[in-house]
Amino acid sequence: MLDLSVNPFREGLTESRVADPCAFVIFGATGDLTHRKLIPALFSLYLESLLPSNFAIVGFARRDWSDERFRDEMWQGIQAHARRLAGEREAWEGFARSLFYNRSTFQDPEGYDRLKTKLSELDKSHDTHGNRLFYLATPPSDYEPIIEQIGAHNLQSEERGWARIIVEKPIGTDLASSRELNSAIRSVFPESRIYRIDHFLGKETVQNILVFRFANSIFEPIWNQKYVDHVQITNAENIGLEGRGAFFDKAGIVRDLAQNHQLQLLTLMAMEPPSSLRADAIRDEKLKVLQAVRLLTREEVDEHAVRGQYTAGLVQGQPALGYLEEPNVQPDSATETYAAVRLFVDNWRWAGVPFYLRVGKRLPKKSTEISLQFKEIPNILFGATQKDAVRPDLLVIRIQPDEGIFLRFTSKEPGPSMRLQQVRMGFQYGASFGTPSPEAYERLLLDAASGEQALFARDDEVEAQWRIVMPVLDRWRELGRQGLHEYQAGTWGPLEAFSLLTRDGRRWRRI
Amino acid sequence: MAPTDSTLASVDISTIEDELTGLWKQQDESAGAVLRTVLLTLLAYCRNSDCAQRVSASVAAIAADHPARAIIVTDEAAETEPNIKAWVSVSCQLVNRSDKQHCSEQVFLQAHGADMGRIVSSVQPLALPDVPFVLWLADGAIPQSDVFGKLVQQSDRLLIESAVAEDALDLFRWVTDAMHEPGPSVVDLTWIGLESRRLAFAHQFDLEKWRSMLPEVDCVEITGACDNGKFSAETLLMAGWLVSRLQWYGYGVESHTHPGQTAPSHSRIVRLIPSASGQPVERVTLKAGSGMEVSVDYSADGTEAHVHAEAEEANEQRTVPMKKRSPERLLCGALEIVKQDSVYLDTVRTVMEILTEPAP
Repeated sequence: MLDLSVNPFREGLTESRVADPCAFVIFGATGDLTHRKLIPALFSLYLESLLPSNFAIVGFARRDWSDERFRDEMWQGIQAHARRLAGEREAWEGFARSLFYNRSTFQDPEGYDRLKTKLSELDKSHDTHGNRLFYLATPPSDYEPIIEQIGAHNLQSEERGWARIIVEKPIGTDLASSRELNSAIRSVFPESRIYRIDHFLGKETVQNILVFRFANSIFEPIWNQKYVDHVQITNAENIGLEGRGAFFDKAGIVRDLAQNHQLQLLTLMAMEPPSSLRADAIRDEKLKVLQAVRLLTREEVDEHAVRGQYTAGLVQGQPALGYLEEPNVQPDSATETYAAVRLFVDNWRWAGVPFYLRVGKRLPKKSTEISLQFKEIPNILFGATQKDAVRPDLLVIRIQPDEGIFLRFTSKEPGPSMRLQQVRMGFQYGASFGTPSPEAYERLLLDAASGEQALFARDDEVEAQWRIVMPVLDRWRELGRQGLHEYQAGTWGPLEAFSLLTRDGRRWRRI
Repeated sequence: MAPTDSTLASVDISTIEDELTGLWKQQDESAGAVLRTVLLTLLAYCRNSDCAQRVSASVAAIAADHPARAIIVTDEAAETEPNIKAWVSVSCQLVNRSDKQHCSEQVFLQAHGADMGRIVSSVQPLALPDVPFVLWLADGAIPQSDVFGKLVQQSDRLLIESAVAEDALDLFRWVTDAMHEPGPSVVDLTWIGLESRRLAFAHQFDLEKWRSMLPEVDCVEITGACDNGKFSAETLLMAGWLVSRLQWYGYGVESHTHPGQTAPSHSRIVRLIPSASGQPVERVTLKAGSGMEVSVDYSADGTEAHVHAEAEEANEQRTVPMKKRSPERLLCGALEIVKQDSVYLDTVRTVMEILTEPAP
């Protein structure tokens, strides 16, 4: 008997996971994110046949654009930013027939009336099954009015299909505003239909952390305080503000990158094995880690955290402005462009193991990585001459660029004498898997359209992350520029950040 | 980068290993950063040197994705003078946007008029430990040798390419027989190559409206390449796939190469039509007595499919992009499959049924 609840022709296809039929509604459709990331990602999914034939995209924004203008602008975005492009003009024509534009301010109820009518029409013309995926690609200040209007127009109704919402980070600017925003979203959408996106979690290497830890038997037994000396999580950027001066000067690097990306990496590194790969099973375990992170007191912040601000310098041979000279930055700004912090996860597995997190702009190179340094061996075998040659083993998970995993260990140099040397064993994504990794947004949009929440943060996770960084942010706000250390652009941050580790008899890994 | 070769006088395993070590050393010294990784042993069986060259080029091209120790056996049975030649080669490619090179090693064994059993027993020690052993019947020929049969059973994966087989039917029969034994998973490159066509077709039935009409379908029509009365493996596989997915039991086959070979007494018909263009699969259609008809026309360049779906009060047309994959990408795709594809097995069984015409 033919089972018609599923498409029988999809079974066995290697690309069998296809998004549900749906209408994507992008608020902020004329913005940079839509142009650079969202439409190119949706187009790639279309080219990979991972979008169903019955989809539609409705751009919603203030600018006076027509459907045609919207399509033309998005084609420009595709040409500039799509992962796959060559010879795809014809495919674009097919894709573009599903693109529409709805001009409105985010507060205007009539704009939402028109949107509602358009979505009903698309259900008929494009067979989108009443399924809607709302994407808030707007500044966070627009989130609440949009959500309010969605609710007022009952666009979140699931009478005929499902309705989900994707919200871009940052979720709030502090714990209180995060709670307020979460509460506003939940007043219209239940948690099971909210997708808080952080593109970082869509990266292959980040997803691979769970596989690496839990699909291999050799690492998990040593993944604890008995064997691990400390963990370093580095998120280094060589770029400056890139036109984001006004936003960044209010936010700072902790809000921009540490509160979300770095703490998410910490949870993936430190979490216990989940009981399944279901979204909530994974998120429950991540939450437990965040709840186990020891919160810093006001006094401890001064001892455990360092902040810095870059001054003019040379980055990769090019002169770089100092932070205070950047456009749209207050001349006396106390915003941190570098932060380093020592955290402890107070649970059985990680008791006493410091997690050093550092994040910065205008550092010598772009790199995001996690390293686990294992404990030293008892140095009794190799004598005084070779003592320094025996360095602790190191496992590095590199997120970007050159995604991969490396293990540093000690080996004997060839020759008659017992001379020891550090060697490196590596796995590189690019070298081991020829197919390029999909863009993070492709994976995440596909997940959201398929109802898979594992790679999206839950409200309690986001709030727990804020709870960890708030003592630091509060203390730094109190201090103003006092205790804000300068570092020259193109260097690895202020000297005080090095002291944070040298005081513990450790040092930052050279990247 | 051109391969570095070393010709050997005989099939001596230790000599081959020594030569390979020498070649690697040479690469290390001359080429800077060289990544030497081996993820599988690939034993390719060819019956002529053209096939061996094609395999050699493919293996080198996929070195970055699937670095392998390739052992290419050429069984030139037509030659009467017994002669065995062996040579080794290391071939390198630059890794994307870097100065690093990815290298793979190849061992060539050419046997003229020699006993395949001897060759096969010679190459077995060359297989690397702890990595998958993949056997590739690169020109679709099935070696007639007991030793080779044993080798098939020992391999983890068996790669075939039904489209290049002289007689696809023979190959499918051999595959269905092999499937009864515990043995390797069979991967057909031709089947992998059909994936984009299948995907383009499947799209239309994501829509429940069209899916609900599938039980009404009473005619599956495939237009595809036909040579001397034999339809292409692609045509047969598409037909077998559709019929098995529709779960038809009992149907007639109407082949337009043999006009008399019709089965009007059946309520369900599989119709095979030779294409004028010579495209492996040009058009696929499902029809129902109710007037429902879904047809997909594949463009000659394999980059898009035009879907036309018609039923009462519905008339839809759309163009679906298709991924066009080079032979190397197909080979990569095939090597990434580690489990037996049960849909393929059902398809091949159904192809056998279609070709032998099921009883009413």
